[in-house]
Amino acid sequence: MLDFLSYLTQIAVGSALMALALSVYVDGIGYTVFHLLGVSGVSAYSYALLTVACGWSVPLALSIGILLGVVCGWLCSECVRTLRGDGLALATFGIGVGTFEALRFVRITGGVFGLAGVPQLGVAAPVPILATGAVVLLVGIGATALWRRSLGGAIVRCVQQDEWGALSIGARVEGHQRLTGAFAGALAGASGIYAAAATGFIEPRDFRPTNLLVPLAATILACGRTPLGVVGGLFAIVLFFQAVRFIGQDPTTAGPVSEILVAVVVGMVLVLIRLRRRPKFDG
Amino acid sequence: MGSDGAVPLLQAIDLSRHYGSGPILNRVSIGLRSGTVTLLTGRNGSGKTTLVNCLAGFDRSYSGEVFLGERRVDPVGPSERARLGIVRTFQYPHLFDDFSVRDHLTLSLLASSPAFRSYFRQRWRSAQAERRTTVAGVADLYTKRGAELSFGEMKLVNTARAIATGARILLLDEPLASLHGEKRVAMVDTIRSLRDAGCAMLVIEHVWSDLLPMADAAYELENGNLQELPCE
Repeated sequence: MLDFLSYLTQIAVGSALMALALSVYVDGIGYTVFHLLGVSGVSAYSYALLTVACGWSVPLALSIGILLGVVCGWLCSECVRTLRGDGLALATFGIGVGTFEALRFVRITGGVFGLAGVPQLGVAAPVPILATGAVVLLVGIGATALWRRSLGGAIVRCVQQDEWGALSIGARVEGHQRLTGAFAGALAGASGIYAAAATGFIEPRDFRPTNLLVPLAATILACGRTPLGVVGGLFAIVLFFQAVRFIGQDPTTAGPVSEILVAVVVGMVLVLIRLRRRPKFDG
Repeated sequence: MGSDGAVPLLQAIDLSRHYGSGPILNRVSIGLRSGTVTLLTGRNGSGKTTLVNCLAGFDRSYSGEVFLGERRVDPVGPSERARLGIVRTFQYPHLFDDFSVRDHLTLSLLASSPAFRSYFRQRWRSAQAERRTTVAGVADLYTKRGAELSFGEMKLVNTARAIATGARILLLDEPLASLHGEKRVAMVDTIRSLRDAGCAMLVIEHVWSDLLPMADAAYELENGNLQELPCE
């Protein structure tokens, strides 16, 4: 049981941090973006390269990795300033795919074979893995909760709900969107570093854009509620995946089947949300 | 505090704006002085809201100049103009659905603070925003969310939110529309007290009999041209 829980922690905590990063974007800025896995890849590879290839200490490499996530998140948030809807989705998807391809073909990253021997956070035993995962998760949830309660979080949600209304009271829309992008980038970076450090191994396909399905599903199912709702939804989906594997027995079909089921449910939820949305101009 | 009769607080010179081939504003010039109420009317589509959009920076595709005192504000957008004290309301109130009325007022008070500092500010809800707001009837709505308000209530909150910013210049787009009885009287009283406090106001209204006694100037927009009307 302990082994199963530590395995669950290893695969779910990174996704949970990514779901929190997405929820900050969707809840705060109001648009779904697809570049965050690329941001997490940049942070994860920088952590891996700095420790494995350059021999830097874990805390320093960890700090640099998260800082790179902040910078990438900040830069990518510039897309939000000029793009909306389909254009924004395509641009951020392009950034995500571009980063994934770059990680695959750049020699320094080890190409498709990835990098082994990434220093693990804590000792590779069930209890330390569980404890480290819990601490990382609590820090992520706490930071997101503080962001939601902060004035900046409130202002950026105002921008999301009515940009003209926010502009009319003097809100610094661009500044808040940049900071939100940077905060989401920090969470995404932490997600990538955790994923690499939990298993001690990193490869480009960890950062395929399709890996966003589960965090995206958790974000949508939480409907912009509390960070706990987002993380709870993510763990429910991961447990569902595991249950399908146990019931289906054949892992080659169980994985795709569970992903299809999750995608269908998320699609239905999106349609229901769209149908229930109250028209803005109903007097 | 009455009109000071000096340089207008907000001045537009030769504003022109075209939609397609025809001009919606044709070299319009207008000045708003401290402690005055300027009324603006005109038929639907005559360009009243476009003029407010240009003055507040929501529409910057115009030619001409807009001055705040002696500073030219054309290069800056709506957010910075609001921080400089030029605040507008909307014909259809742009409120925030998930925030309470009290939050609306508090955010108006605090939204202009630097973005970086805002990110770390917790307990912002304890700010005393209501002290700046004098619109009668809004206090009864404090706990209601934006999405729960009727249209008349939204209009009240829309104006109260603009006042809470501490604006020196208010551009009010049909503040009395959909208000009846006590709420209408309360809004007229609010506009009067703001004028007495030194605020410069441009008020768009179709029916302005309630506002005419306190008006310092009145204009009609027709075919893109601004014509002065007698304040009687």
